[in-house]
Amino acid sequence: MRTIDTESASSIRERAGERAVKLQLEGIEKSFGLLAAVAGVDLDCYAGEVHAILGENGAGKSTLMKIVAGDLQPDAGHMWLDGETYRPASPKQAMRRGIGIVHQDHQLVSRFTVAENLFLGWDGADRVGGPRSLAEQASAIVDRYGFELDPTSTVRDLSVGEQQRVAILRALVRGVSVLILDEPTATLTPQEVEVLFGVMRNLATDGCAVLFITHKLCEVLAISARVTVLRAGVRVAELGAHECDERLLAREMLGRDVESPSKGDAPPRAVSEPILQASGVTVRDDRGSLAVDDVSFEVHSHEIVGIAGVAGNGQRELSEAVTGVRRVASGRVLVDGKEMTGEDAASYVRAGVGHIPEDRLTAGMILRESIANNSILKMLHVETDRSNLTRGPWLRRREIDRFARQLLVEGQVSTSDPKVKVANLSGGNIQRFLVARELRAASRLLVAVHPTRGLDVGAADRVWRILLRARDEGIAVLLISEDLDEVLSLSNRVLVLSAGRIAGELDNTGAPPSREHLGMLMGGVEQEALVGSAAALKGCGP
Amino acid sequence: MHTFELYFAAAILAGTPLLLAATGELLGETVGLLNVGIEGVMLIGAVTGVVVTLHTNNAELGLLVGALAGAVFLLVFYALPVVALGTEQILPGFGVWFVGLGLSQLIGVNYENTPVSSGSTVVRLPGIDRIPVVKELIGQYPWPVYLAFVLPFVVAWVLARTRHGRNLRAIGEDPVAASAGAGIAVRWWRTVYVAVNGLLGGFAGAVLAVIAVGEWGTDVTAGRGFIALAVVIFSGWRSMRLIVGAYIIGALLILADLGGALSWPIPSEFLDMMPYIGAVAILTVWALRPGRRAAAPGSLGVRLKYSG
Repeated sequence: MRTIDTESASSIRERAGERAVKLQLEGIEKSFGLLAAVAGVDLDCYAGEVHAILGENGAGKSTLMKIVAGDLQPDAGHMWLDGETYRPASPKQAMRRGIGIVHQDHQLVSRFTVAENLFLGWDGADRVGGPRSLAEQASAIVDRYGFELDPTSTVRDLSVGEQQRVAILRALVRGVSVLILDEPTATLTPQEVEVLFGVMRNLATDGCAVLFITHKLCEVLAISARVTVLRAGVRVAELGAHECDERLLAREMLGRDVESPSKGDAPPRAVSEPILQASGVTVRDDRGSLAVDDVSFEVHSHEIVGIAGVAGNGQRELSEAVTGVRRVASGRVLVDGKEMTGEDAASYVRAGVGHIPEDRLTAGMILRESIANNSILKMLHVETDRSNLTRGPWLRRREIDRFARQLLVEGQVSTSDPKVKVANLSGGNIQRFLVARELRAASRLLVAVHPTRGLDVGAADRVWRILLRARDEGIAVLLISEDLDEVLSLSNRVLVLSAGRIAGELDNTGAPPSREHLGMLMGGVEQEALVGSAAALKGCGP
Repeated sequence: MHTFELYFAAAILAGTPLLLAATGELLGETVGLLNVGIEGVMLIGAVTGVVVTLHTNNAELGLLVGALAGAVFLLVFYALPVVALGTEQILPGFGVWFVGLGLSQLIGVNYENTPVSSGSTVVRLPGIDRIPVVKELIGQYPWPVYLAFVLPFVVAWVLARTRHGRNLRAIGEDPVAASAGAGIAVRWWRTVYVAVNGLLGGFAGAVLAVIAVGEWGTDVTAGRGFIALAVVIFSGWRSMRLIVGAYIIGALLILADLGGALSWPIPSEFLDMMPYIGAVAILTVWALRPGRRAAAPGSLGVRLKYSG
């Protein structure tokens, strides 16, 4: 597959050579206060090519693209579109010139339907039209691009992956000539990524310039003709995809070498004991419909069990059910052999369960509070910590600060001052701080949901190492992630969740299961149906 | 039952300024802007309307200028801080009320209790004006009454079924997504609908003073702007329900007049209290209805920074 992609990439590149520069950036600068987010970046993007923008979090990728999309105004520099000066004062102007962006956070109106979002703010939409005609037009578009979406459903009820597809379609509806995709593949199954790459290739073939922001090195190589690597707001390299490999890209991006984490040897089963036992667990979502349907599994000490699947297949509800955040409708949950069914979240904390929630910024942290206050949010339920951190009804500030400093060291957070507000930390630092806190709470079990979503390779690497260390210390880890690479490189066993049921369980101690096999399980094909199928395809990643 | 027909017509007339002001406020809130100062806008509209009518002897011109004055007033004292400078919304709203209260007294000091001699054009609905009783109930009102009645239907249709209305709802739901995601000119449309809110609020005040009361008096609105605010909440942000709320309160507003006419053994002060008690009552009932709260625009009253 890799070779085919490189071929098509090079043919795109050859065609691009004949074409004029579509979008040209020169000396773009943008600062926020004292921080120079983008410090003088040049970029040439040709019609008919997929151009990857690679960089760590905070490297300035998103800021640069927001400038191109008219969201932000540059402090200095020039832009040309089709040879004409281009300086959009607003996203609207950018869209009028044919520049579409799919944001990392999608920017959809969550209480609107898919159809409403697709046509929102678009001058080409019908002036007058009720929900029905809107839905009809939307489903025609959905079908044309082969996405699976119900135009009448409300965006809020969709999974993150589905919401992203709406955002991509919205840009396509507007007939863009430059499409900016900000980390678009993070939440898609391998098959969906292939569909997306197909769409991207088609757009490029039609003469569209596709700017593709990612931190997944293999995707850069698979789809793009050229790569611009940003580090700390500066362009450090512009490479043809054919002349680089993952190691080279990683070095350019980080300024140092990284090794991918290895799950190492699985501990012998004899010494491991079941920590989390879920039997026949059924959970309902916020709307009352069945999200997790009769799921049974165990997580043992000294092992990481990965749950793979596309967002919205019950992962959130399952993780909430085994941490006491959400009530199970039926079935039993045991932690350490102790009956925990129907207990609240505080009881789970007392039982030694840590929880890295899916939405760390709203469910995991109080952003406007200090690191010190965030560090003790949960610990007051743990008896030993409570007696240490409080005296009667009073908080012991000095002890709390000391405790917070410990967490900062354990999480390798860039600050050591517990008085700093969490909101002022970067995404990677917030997540490492959260992981450190939850590991404190997790004396028996750690439930980690998308622990590295939105983190760059360097930051993700640190989180992975913390999880592996926790496993080696005997903690049972339940890892829920949409990132197959992450699940496969960390887990001893992999469960695939599809439509609220476990579609398959795979041993991951030896040779990794084929990605196509996993993808089909994620797509809802039952395991039995796949036995014997020649799953020869192996994609990028470890 | 001649009394009933008179009472009905008076209730409709009393409810009309409420309905106009509430419709304007609903449009403003649809784009996410909570303006608690409708009272001040109505006062400006009322005094301007009366002054212009007295000088030109032309009530239609008075109503028009009153409406325009409301729009300009709200643009300066509300759109400037909230939309252009990005302040929060409540204090500028109270500012609008206070300034409107003071400024209207200043303008109206020489015109107080001077009756407006010329009225507004009364529209007789063709066909209906021949049917007895019905004619008196719905067949012969000044034109603003019919306009106020029709507007909520137009608003409902625009918001639910047009591209423009969808964009407006998106601005009130999530201005960031509307701007950065969908490319809607959020600041522009917020400014426009502040002006529309002011236009309808000023018109409502002018209708109240020129047509319903017939003269300017200090604080002639007597809290009607706040009642309009309550009517919007009661409607659950569905414009056609404004009609119900506005006319119910309208009926309560003239209860004291009815009591006086029929010599009820109830103090008129108590009856004067009814519209306010009614407003509190319907808000309480509304708040107790399950699932209604979700109807408010998602970003109503939220101060945020946005581009576009």
